[in-house]
Amino acid sequence: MTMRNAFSLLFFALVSGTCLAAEFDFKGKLFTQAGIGIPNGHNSSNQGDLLLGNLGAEAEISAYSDCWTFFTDTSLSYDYIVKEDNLTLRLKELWFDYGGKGWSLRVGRQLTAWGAADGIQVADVLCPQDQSSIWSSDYSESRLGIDAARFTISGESLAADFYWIPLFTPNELPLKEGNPLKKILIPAGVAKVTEDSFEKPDVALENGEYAVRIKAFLPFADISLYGFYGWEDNPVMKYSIGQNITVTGTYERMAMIGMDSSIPIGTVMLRLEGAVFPARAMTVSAEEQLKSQIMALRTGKKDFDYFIRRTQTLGLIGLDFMPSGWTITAQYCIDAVIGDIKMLDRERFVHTATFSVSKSIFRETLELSLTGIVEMNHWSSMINPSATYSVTDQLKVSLGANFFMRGPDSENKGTYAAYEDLSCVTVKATFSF
Amino acid sequence: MKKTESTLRFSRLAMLAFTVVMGTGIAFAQELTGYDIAKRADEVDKGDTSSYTATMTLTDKKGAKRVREVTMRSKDYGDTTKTVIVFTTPKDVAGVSYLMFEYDDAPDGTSKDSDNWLYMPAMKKTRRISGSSKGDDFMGTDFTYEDMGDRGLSKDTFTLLEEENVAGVDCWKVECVAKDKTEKNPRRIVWYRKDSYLVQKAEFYDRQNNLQRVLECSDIKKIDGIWTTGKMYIKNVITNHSTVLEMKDIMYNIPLKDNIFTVAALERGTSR
Repeated sequence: MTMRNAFSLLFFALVSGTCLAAEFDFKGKLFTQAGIGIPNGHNSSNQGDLLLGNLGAEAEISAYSDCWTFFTDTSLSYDYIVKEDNLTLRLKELWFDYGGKGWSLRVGRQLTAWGAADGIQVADVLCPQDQSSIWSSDYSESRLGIDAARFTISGESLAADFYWIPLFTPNELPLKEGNPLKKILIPAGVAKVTEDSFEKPDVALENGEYAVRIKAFLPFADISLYGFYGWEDNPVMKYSIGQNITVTGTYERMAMIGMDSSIPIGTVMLRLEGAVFPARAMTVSAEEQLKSQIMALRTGKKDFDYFIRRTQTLGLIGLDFMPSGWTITAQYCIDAVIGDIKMLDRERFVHTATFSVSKSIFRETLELSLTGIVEMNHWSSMINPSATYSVTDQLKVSLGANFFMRGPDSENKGTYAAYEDLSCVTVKATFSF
Repeated sequence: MKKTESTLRFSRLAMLAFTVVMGTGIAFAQELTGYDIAKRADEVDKGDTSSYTATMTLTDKKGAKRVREVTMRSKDYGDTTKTVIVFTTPKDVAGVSYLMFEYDDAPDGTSKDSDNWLYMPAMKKTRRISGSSKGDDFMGTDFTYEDMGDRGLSKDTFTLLEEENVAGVDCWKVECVAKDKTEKNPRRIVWYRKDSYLVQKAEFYDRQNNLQRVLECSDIKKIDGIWTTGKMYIKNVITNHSTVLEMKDIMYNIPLKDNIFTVAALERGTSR
């Protein structure tokens, strides 16, 4: 019996026979979204092109009684931009939770968010992400569930979660033909790359992931401590010279210790978050890999280093301010790598700032927001204005834009310069029931 | 002799008049002040625990209606009251939960900001939020977050204006003026029912002292021995928008587990 089958059997054994005398909740939504390319001042090649297009449905069902809950969240979507596998059926969550006074056990596919940061991943490493679309309307929609058992003990002002994740789930990468993000991840001229190009860890007990979160809710602050030992959600990429350049890769082990805190100071909420990744696997730049291969060929060696391990530290400070119905958020994040970095395609310190301003008006029927992220090393940025209107309590329509802008330095235009051809105006409609 | 008798009679009348006047003065001194009434209203028995479902119907000036529904559970721990509110309608916010710890004023009158957490099921995350934005509208209704919770007595000065009959009920009319003039409604006129100290009616004035909102309460009755307002109608007279709040499934002094009022319960979804 495979690990996955055993896990499924255990899950259904827990669920069966417990749906009697339960209360039920159901909610669902239908959605459609489209994005049209807009000129960015440097390149109008995508102007008017359909860069984003999907429609779909999502359903959540929960059954619960006093000490247990069963929950499932499933989505079905059709992407009419990509040229293959247009239809995606995703089981986002499927779990059973049972507990008593001060403890609970949750088994199944589940979503969890760690950390106090908004839209930036510092200590929030537990759940993988759907990176196949950069236009997810919020960070939460890009999160993928983990197949895990979570044991929680909690008291009045303290809670601890212990995770065992026996089945590894990587990030979803933009590898489908026709996905506008693919060319940013995989250079042109490379042989076809699919998810199977990257070697996942075997399903085995010794390949499980483990995580712990301890959280204290104190009068002056909320404080959390995190620990994680598992696998990188993105593969380290290996660029091999052959008839073509071939891209493969592996998922490597990763460890993290982190903390966060939310501190109310009058009308302001101060958020802090930090994470340390000891000896983290980092992809050697494509240029360095190709040089290494040529050297290896000359010296008769067969293999070359396609990744190295360095300690990475991230720190974030954020402020939330909510005067008179406004929500104003600002964050600064620093990402630092310790040790020799000349083989890496990154700088030692990466500085990032985000801001968000939003306001609901007309009795919270219209929400206006402006969010942005600025990569401060080279001042490239992404700006996202949007307006969401509740036509009725069930129907919402959104109009927004994503502007990706390069920095002023002609030699290094910054992270978001690679996406400037993907600047677009988006329209989204959601019907909830 | 006659002069002595008339003098004595006059003296007795004077004594009687003096006694009546002094007695009346003493009686006035023992009548309730605005603060006394507000204090008694604040101390009205609300039960050690309470649970109810509140349905809010919002009506705009064109008559279009929207519905919001929440379940509220509350437990009094003496100097702290813990409340959990779970949003159930509309569907796109169903499951959003709000946990609030409200603290009584200290003996010296100083107040402490409440501690608040908001759980957003779409984000799978609980966020601690500032408790100082209580003047904001609650879910787009004409009620504010402060209207939905408790307001400490130390925040206002109270003046008894007069006694008045409102909708057939004898009331005290009390003016409440906020010490913080920057508040959304720094002046309120509140009609407290004499039979129960519950609010029968209230007027809310903005910073320019213009009438902004009018509240009318009805369906006031005893449930489990506790005076309860079953229906509140509030109208913003400036925007012509109104909200009707109706409470059902009201229960008091039922056993509510302490672990319902924890952040862990919010995230687990067991605060419902």
